[in-house]
Amino acid sequence: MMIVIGIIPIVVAGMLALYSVTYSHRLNVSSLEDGALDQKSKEIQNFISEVADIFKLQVGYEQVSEIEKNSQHFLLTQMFHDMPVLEDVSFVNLAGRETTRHTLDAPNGVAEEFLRDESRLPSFKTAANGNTYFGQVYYTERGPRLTLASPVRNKNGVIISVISGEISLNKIQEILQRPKLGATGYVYVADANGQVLAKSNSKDDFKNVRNMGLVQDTLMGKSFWGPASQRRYESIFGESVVAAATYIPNLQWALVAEWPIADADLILDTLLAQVAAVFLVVMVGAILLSLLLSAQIVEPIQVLEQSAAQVATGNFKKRVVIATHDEIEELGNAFNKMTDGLEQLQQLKNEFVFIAAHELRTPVAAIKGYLSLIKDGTVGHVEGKVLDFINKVMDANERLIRLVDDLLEIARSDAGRLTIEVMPIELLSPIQSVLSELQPLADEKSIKLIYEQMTLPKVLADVGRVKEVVVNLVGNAIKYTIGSGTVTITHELQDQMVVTHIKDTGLGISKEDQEKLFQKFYRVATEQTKNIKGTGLGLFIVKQIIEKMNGKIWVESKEGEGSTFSFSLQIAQV
Amino acid sequence: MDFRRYSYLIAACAILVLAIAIPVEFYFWFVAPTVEPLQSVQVFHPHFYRNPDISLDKIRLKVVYAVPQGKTAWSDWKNILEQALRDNARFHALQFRYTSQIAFDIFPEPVFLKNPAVYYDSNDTNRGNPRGLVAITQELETRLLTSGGDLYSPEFAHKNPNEYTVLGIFYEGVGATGGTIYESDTGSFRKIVERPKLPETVIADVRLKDWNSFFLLNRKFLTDIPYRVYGATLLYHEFGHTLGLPDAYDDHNEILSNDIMGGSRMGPISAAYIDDATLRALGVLPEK
Repeated sequence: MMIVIGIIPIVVAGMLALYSVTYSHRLNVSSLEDGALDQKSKEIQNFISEVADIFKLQVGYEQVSEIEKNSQHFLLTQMFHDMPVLEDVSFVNLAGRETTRHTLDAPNGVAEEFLRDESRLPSFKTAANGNTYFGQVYYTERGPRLTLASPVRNKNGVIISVISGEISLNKIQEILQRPKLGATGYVYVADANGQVLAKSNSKDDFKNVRNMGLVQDTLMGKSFWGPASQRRYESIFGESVVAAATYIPNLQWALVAEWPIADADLILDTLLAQVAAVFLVVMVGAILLSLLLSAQIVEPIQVLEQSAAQVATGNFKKRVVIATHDEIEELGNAFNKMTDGLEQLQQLKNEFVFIAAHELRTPVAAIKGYLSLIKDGTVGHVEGKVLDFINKVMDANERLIRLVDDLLEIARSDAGRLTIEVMPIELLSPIQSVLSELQPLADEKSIKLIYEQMTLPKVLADVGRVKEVVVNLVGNAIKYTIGSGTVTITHELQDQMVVTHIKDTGLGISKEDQEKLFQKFYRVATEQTKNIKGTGLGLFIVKQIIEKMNGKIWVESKEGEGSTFSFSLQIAQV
Repeated sequence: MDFRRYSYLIAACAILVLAIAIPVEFYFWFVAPTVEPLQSVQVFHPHFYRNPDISLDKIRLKVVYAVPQGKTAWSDWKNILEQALRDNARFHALQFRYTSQIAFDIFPEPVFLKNPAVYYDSNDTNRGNPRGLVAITQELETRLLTSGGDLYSPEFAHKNPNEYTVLGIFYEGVGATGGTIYESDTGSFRKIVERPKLPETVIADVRLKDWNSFFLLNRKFLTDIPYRVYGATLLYHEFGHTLGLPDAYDDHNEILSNDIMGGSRMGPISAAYIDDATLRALGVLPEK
């Protein structure tokens, strides 16, 4: 119990520690990933904005006419110089026809026959309507690109032509380098089709990730920020990762941060190991301490408990030794004093009973003697009521004599003065002797005494005490048989014992009474037994005698059907 | 044996085990985050334009250098052709997101055609000389690709049923065109071109047994300035028609897309691409 009480707070504390460490770590990971995403998202959007800003051309004149061709070439050359990510740029007139175009392969401008009619392209139409156009990402051998187109306005804001270009997105790969996610965390961009456009730490992962739950949802406009939105899954790039994502709306891209769990949780694993180690040490310590305390506190209490149980059965010699140097030791000392006192009281009681019974014996014997003389007519004829009164006094005196004898017997037994001379004896003859003695009593009540004799080995017993036992048991059998009946005595051999059974057809004894039958002064109190005389000490004395001869005594009985008292005596080994 | 003393020890051990097991179970059931398994990766199977029944996982080009009677073969034709085909293969792999591969076989010697150039060439170079393509292809089929032909090569003629095979003609003459043969139940050129509003000159009556897809490219596109800058691009453009890709420009040269079937066909192949809509129709990108 002490162990459990000691352990429970430790277990609860351990669970709380596990939870808080894990949750705290999750917050940290989320914070780092969100920080990386935020930084990279801003960098990407800044890059695109810078490029888009360069495309926002406004001329300084008011005419609604195209820029002069030489100026177009000049401007395009300047743009190529200012923006290394530009790979192809052209001016397109409002009819949709390219008027000049510069490319990486033709930095001074392509030939006339290579100029295109873009009037049906969405890039031209959007820009001609006054909006900046961002195309879908496409992939060339030179890297990913997208189309950007923007209106060219005059001083008054009127659209005079369109400028359209192809922007290299190789810069995105550079932006995504070094995302600061541990040693192995990475970030990648997926285009609107789920194609990986760029990925930190690698240039070769040209995979389509649209099917992955996180990317799919992100491309629909959701973002996965914060610890609650963090996802853990087996990544298409081959590791279990913890991931977060954000949507870049104007480009319809998903920016995903994935941090391999083995790297992300490295510190967590270390912390958990430390928590587990501390927890284990504290747990073992708590258990050992509980055991120690248990030995110190609980064991002495158990010793006291057991000793008290023994004292309750009458064993006043029991003493306890408790050396805990605390209140429990004092309790133990008090217990020993108590049992000392009880033992003294018992001794005094036994002495008193012995002396009282011994002193009473003489007067009651004298009373008996004188009553007999009176009844015999020694002092004159006695008859009628006087005789009747004398008979009643004699009966009462007989009972007193028997009580005194029984008390004396018990007192001797308690004082250890009960003399029993155990020697090998024959059982048959003492039993036959008792039966002859009690025959008249049985005849009075029309009770048959049956003795089923058999050849028996000698037993170790005191012949006088055996007679006393048989007298008591057969006497009880006769006493407690109302009307006619039988008392049967049989023997059987069990192990190294001779068992004698005395069975009657009398009143029988209830289960509750059977348990107390051999206690001092106990008498069965029923309507049928209230008129049967007795001291309540006979069976107690019989039990003492049998046990002192190393035997046992017991009873089997059923109310209304009679009883069988049995006792065993050791076979004498010759 | 004092069972009571040992029972305390057993109880203590049992409590220790429980005290460890409970937090561990708590952690794994309620605290430790779960890792979702890898979702099935979407696998794309490229196919003929708008026709999933024709797989384009593996494509094989059988390329022949055809020289009309009376003309001289270009001396370095093979190296130039090989380089262009390699560029095409690389371009194709990237555009198809590595779900489709092109392999090619070049007939080792120039094939000198039976007739002079005038027989095969066309005045209508706007259309790329489709009639020339048909005439040459029919001759090659008879001589080169059918058993009994004077130039028959069983290895070259062999078609693997697991590959989509295209015949490429590197032509020492006029033209740049490509296409596939479709069965028409109308029987009339006029009726065929009526709906798409094309001129009848784009339709040819083709009598080929085993070859459905072929393209033709004038050698000069790979060798002569200024064309050679975009020669490989044009080669793929024509080859693209054999996969069912339509031109992305109209009769007035207004481009419908800047990809290799439209605006970027006239530029270096390193800057060319196939646009999303076409890739979706080829089964390379998921449907929107």
